[in-house]
Amino acid sequence: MGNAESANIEEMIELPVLGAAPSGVDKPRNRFWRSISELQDDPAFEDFVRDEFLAGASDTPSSTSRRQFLQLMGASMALAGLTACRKPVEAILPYARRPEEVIPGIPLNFATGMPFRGVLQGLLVESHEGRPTKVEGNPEHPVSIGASGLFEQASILDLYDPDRSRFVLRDGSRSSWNDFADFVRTYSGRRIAVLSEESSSPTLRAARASLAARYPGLKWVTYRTGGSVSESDGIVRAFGSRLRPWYRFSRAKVIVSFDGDFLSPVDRNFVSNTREYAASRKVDDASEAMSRLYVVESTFSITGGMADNRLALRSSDIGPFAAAVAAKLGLISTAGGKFADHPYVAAIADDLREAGSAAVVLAGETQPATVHALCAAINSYLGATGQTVELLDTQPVDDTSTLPALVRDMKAGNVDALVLLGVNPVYDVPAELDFAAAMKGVRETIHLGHHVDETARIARWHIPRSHYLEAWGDGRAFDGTLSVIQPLIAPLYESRSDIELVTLLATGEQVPGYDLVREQWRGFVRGDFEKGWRKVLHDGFLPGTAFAKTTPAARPVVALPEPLVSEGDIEIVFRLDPTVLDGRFANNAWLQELPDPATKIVWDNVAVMSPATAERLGVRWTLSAGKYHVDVVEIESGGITTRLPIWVLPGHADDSISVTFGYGREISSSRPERKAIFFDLDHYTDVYGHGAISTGVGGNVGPLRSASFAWVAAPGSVNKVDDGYLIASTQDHGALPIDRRQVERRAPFQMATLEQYRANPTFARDYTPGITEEAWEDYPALWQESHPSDQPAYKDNDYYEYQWGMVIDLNSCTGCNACIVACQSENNVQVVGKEEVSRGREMHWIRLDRYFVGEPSGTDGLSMVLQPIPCMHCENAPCESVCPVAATVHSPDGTNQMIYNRCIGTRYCANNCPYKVRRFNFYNWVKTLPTSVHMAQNPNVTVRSRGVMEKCSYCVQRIREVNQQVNLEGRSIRDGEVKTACQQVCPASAITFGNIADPNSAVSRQRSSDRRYEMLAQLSVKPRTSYLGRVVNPNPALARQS
Amino acid sequence: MPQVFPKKANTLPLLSLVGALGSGVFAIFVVWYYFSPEYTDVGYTPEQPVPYSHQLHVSQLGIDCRYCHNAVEYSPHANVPSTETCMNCHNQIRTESLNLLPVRESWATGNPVQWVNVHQLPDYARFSHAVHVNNGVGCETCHGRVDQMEVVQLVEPLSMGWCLECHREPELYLRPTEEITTMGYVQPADFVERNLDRIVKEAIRPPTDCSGCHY
Repeated sequence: MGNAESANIEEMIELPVLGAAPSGVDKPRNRFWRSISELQDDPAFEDFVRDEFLAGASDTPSSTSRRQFLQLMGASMALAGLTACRKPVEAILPYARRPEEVIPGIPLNFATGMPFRGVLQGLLVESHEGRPTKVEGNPEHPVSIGASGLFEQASILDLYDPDRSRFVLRDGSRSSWNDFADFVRTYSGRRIAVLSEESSSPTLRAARASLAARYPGLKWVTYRTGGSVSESDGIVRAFGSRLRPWYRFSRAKVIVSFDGDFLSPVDRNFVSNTREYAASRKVDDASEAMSRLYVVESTFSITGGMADNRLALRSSDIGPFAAAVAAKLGLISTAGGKFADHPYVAAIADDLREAGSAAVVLAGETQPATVHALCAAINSYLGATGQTVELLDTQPVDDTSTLPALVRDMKAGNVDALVLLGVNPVYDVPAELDFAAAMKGVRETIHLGHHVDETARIARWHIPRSHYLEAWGDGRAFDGTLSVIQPLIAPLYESRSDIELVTLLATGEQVPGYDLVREQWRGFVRGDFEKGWRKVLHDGFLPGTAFAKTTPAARPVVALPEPLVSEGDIEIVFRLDPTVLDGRFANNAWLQELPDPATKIVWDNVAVMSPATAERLGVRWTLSAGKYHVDVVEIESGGITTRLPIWVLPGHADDSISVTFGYGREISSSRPERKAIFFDLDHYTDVYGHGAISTGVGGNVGPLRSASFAWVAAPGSVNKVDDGYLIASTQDHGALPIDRRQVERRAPFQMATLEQYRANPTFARDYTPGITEEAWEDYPALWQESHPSDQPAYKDNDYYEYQWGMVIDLNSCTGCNACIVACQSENNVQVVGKEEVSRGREMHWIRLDRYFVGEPSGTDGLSMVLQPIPCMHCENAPCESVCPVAATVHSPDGTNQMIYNRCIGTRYCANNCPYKVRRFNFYNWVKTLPTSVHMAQNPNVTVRSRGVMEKCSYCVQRIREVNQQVNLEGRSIRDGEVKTACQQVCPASAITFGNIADPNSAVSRQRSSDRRYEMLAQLSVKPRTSYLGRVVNPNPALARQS
Repeated sequence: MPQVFPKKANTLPLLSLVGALGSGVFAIFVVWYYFSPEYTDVGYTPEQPVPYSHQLHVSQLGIDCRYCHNAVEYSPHANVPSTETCMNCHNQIRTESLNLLPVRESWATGNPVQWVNVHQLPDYARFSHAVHVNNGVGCETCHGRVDQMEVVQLVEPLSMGWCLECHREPELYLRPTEEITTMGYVQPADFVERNLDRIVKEAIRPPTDCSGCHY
């Protein structure tokens, strides 16, 4: 309706400035909208659009009165007179003995790896004088190839987590590692059980073998929050052996995902999946082909956002839907069930058949093994196995028991001692199993973990666990490549690694992890060991050790998936959280404040549901004064209840509720509570000030599950119990002030179908309106000789030959959030806490704007797009002209520089920024940071203080570092030598950065793409950051008849 | 009615106006001069934990700056020497000196000697020794005649205005790269022309934009 109306208005009022749409191209766009409030033209949404700052953004915290403010100011004035007589005396502390390779001021990089859900991610970590500060992907590693994900980026903050456990605890009181070693030596129990995290470490395997030799009846169980791995269980069902599928989307023409969020950072192979998928979507010109992605899912995932055709179905129905596709393909003979006549089934089956071996079908981990088996069967049937799906022959999972069996044994008194290696089952094991009670019945329990968490508090022994940057270890990457975990810093606390603990238990001897790993690797390194070992440490991995690829001859066995929750009932779907995973990252402030990709919620987990389901449950939400207040529901299952705030997400399947693990943690903090003075604003802004940051955030959904760890279940009941719960969601923050009647043409996000793109390759530019005020020619490029501003500084300067610019390819960008965390780590971007985010004060320099496109009704009418928005570094920057103190000015190399020590905090610049990318330090977020967190800061970037504006700087510290380096070496900067943090992390290579004055640079080639457009080009601000419009490839047969 | 104010009171408004102007000017002068790093910082000579004499080591013993400050040519930091550097000589020479006690303590314990920072740059300013040294800015230009200092003293204000003097007219300050560590270097008569030549040839263009140093 809205579209027709706006078209009429445009016809009535002639708007010549906009320029007519090119003839012969039909309108590709529906309306882009950020939230239901915007779609419904809620006046409350106008708060976000009208001003840069939300209502009340300049107010003092609710806990401070005017009187307190005056007292504070008086005290500050009195103190101001006493300080500042002289700069404080600073000491210089040189090394007593300088390590040979360390030159103060020059960082070193070490290859290492991060264990993540049973695989090792190859990393290169930067160290400043022995202090690790920044994680990057290892460019030489065959899986990471220089990219990484948000968990790897944020892991640096985990190292410096002030709430990490520091001491060995015996029954909750302080003990020591030596006491524990004495205890182990004299321990006489025989029946040992180990509950271990997923691990791919050969050294741990060897340690386990020696433990089994000492304790013959050793029970070894691998614990995952999600129970078993449904994917590999499905492969076992299909082929009879445990194989690991590696999806090669770059070779695929048709990709079908059944609830599979393979582009999500929680996926074990996230980096490779994203890179491969982006490769299948690269279109340099209109003649190129691109893949087509079908996603059938219950909630809006990152993968669903990238889908060409997306169908919202309850997770319970996706199995039968997959079966209907298989039936249509002729793979199984049974009738297709209730989805037999679904238009998507026919369309997907036709496309799959046509693509043949260039097709790939996959299922998500929320789907049961039968669906995975069915997908494997479809792939084999199409001939895709070995083509788009490579099956890797991993070593078999050799657990000697299962968790339910172990719990039975524990309850029966058949376990003398239980060892928990980095796991936290008391927190998230289904309540039905009652792990805590079983654990209390075991005489000796030994917990190795990063925190004094739920399990540690019950365990008789707690041993602090070393972070991967502190301890030696090893593991296998997703493809099986052997990699070493090389520590960059000595353990900060009295901690030990898994292999050190297990070795102590097995032998009674304290062997350093370094010796254990070296001993193990003697078997891997060929030739001269010392030489080979040094090379492994340098490279971070041992080439040629990937798993063998196999093509099973056996014909896949197919079992028919059954609907999990019967029709009409509400299902509840458990998922790993895209920001805190299963809770192990919950105490990471960067990840807590990272907006969820779909809901944009920070510092909370919610029960996500569709508008219709919300209506059915009688729950509501309101938006007023820029804040969301929602109802709270109580979910009951198996006698256990959890309270969660609700969130209504358009595009979610009806009768389905999505919840995520990882919240509702209870971590003990050894830091004393901050002593707050009554007018202490710092106390209010201190996210670390009230114990462990994850404690009290969100609700724990793990125990709600049944003993079978089912990902999809029917809850006992869902009832509204409360209302008015404040949710901090950034979904409307930074809403661009665009007249919504014209939004189709002026959409910040340009998108077209492949056919439209072929008909009109310059669709993105054509749909951006012309300049409204001044002619484009008034503003030639800054570095041109005849620049009308006639400022000699531009011509006579050193950096004259380098003009920095960025291009973001929206066709590759999935919106995985990795760039946000990478930027945060590189640029010392601070965390502000939930209440401050709800006031619109979040500090992220790059944000991902989420838009829905289309109508929220129906199951397939809606798509979701995510668009990264950093500072555009406008050549004709509106922020610069309004700064009264020239704190934001242009540099000769074309960046819009922000000078913190000039800034007096008028915030005029932010008000005048059309992209709303400037961030203001309303408080001194840094002042209250615990000392250990300071260690995570980048020493090459200023830590900003209160009252100062900040924004994306194009990573100017990296530019200057290279400037200086090439100056010393007497050469020019090579293309690609300067990489911004967001560019470096991006697994999709969606961000290109470089010298736009050089016509041969990668960024210049991207800028010449026909899909390129500048956001809000009509303002003639000449942004240096531009975008390549997205091309989608929906199936024409499924085009909506409207 | 007698006059309340004598006639000479007529000059009072004028006087007070002049006085106000004068005191305004005076106040500006006071702030401009006494609050500037020129006044507050130059001459800063803190006591160091070890009474190390540059005069002795440089002038009399002839040790080059780079023997101790050995990272100056490739790192942003010139590098205050590690205890090890001192001990290279002082495990042989003056091994009993009381003055060297902190150095020997540091050597024995591994804890650093706590030197007091003299050349403290303003916050938010980034500076690289390597780039300056390799482009012909001598040690002496910023640090003064260190070879004559018993105790290291701050001789230049290290303020932004002072930096910019050279960044705007580098030809007045540069010297040949091989004379970088020379103390008391005398520029030849035609040094400005030579430097201008060099600036063109080597493309020495010191940044004068903000983000050249502030980021």
